[in-house]
Amino acid sequence: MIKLLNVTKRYSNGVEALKNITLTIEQGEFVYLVGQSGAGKSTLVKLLYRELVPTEGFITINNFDLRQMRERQVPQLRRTLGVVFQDFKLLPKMTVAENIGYALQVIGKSDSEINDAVSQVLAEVGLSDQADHFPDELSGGQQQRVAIARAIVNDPKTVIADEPTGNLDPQTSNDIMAILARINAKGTTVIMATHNQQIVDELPQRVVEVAHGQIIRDEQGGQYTHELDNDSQPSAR
Amino acid sequence: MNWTTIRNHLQDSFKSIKRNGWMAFAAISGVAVTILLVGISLAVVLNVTKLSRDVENDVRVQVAVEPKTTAKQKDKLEAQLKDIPSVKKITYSSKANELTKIVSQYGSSFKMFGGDDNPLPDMFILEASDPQKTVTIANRAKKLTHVSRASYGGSQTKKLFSTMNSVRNWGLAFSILLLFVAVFLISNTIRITILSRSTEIEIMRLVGATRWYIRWPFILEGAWTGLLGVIVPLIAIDLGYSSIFRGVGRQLATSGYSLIQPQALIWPLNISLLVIAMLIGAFGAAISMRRFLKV
Repeated sequence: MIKLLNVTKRYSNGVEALKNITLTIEQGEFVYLVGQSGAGKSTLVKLLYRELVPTEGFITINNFDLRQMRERQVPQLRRTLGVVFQDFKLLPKMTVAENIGYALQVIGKSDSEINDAVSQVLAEVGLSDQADHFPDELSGGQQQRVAIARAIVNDPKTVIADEPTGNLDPQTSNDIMAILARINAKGTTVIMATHNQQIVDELPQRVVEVAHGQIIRDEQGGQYTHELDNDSQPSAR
Repeated sequence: MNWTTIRNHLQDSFKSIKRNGWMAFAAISGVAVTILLVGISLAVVLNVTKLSRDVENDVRVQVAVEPKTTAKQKDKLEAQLKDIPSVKKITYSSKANELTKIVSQYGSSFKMFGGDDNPLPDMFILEASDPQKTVTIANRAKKLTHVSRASYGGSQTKKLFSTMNSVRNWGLAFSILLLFVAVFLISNTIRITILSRSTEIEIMRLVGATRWYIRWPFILEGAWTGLLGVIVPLIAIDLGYSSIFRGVGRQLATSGYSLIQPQALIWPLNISLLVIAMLIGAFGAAISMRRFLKV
């Protein structure tokens, strides 16, 4: 379960990226985070995996109190999360299997545990035959699947995806969404920041819309844009 | 930390040096140049220290006894000289003995001063337990009866002491300064290798690696960089010192002084430089890491 209560984030240059946000996400939910560039989505996502600390307010995620927690507890929090980025963030000099296994290696798992988990998760994302390839030998969609595999190999409670389909064509984006939906069906919370209108509209889930640092809409099964202001946001894809 | 983790850290650090080939080469070269300079400077300081100690220990107070002093009076004088604090050893040298020394140094023509024509005084030669006390000993000896003069080489010795002291101090200061330069150089070069791996660090942090888990491979990499960087300068210093010892050492030997024996200098110097290089490598890496571990 994720709870944000009256969260404000002000950067050192004085910019207030988030203003007094309150949001609750139950375990197992699938939430789209939408909004224009600069609305505060990325700040919100970074607060969730504690890349940033809120200036005011409280955040609890997977039973961790993010404002109270000590620096050395941060790794423990992150082991309950899987994070996926638009640019995949794969290590180019490691094979697919090594990239995925790395997430387990750095938390001290044994080789046999790593091998088992990696082959299982590779099967889940449909890349079993690519285990020994290097990232630059794969397509964008395949690289994103490797990134997702790395995010879920530790069986996290929550997957946070920041524009996971931002660099992908529509068909490949659908494949990625199918994988995320399967992960969600197993009880993992999925929070996905996105600009992809087609996906949000075709695969309806809870939509939280952020504008000017505030939540302006929180709608179960909503569309990418609010029906009333469909015409007023021509820049949204 | 379990064995798998230790093995992973070691493998990671070796792989990283291999993967970052040219960067690692740059860092290793940086270490090599600095360690060479530190090594040379330490070898110079150690030898100057030894030489100055040799010279210091060689300084004696020569007490000339007044002519016509009786044997009894000489015995009394010897006892008084022995009582001066910091006098370690006292040797009596008769005027005949003094003449023999002069003849052996300046030639047989001085033999003509033998017997009753010998103008030299009988001497007591005092050795100080602490070379710095030489002047005090000479001053006190001068005041005793039946002493015509007490000399220690005077202002020249003083000058020599202060020159030796400043060579040693400046040499040490230079070495310490060089070590700081080395840490700076290594931490900067390792910062470049860390920069080239910032994505890796970012991913490690995201998937929940602890700070020490992230640090270890880089610290080990820094230590290996130091280890690899030290090889060439050590060989150069060892060979260079041996040949200098053979060359300069022989010339010095005629004046009664000697450089430190290569086998006595090389091993302690090698081991200390190796440890210093690995430590500054690790320390440099640790400094560079700090910025990347901030949340």
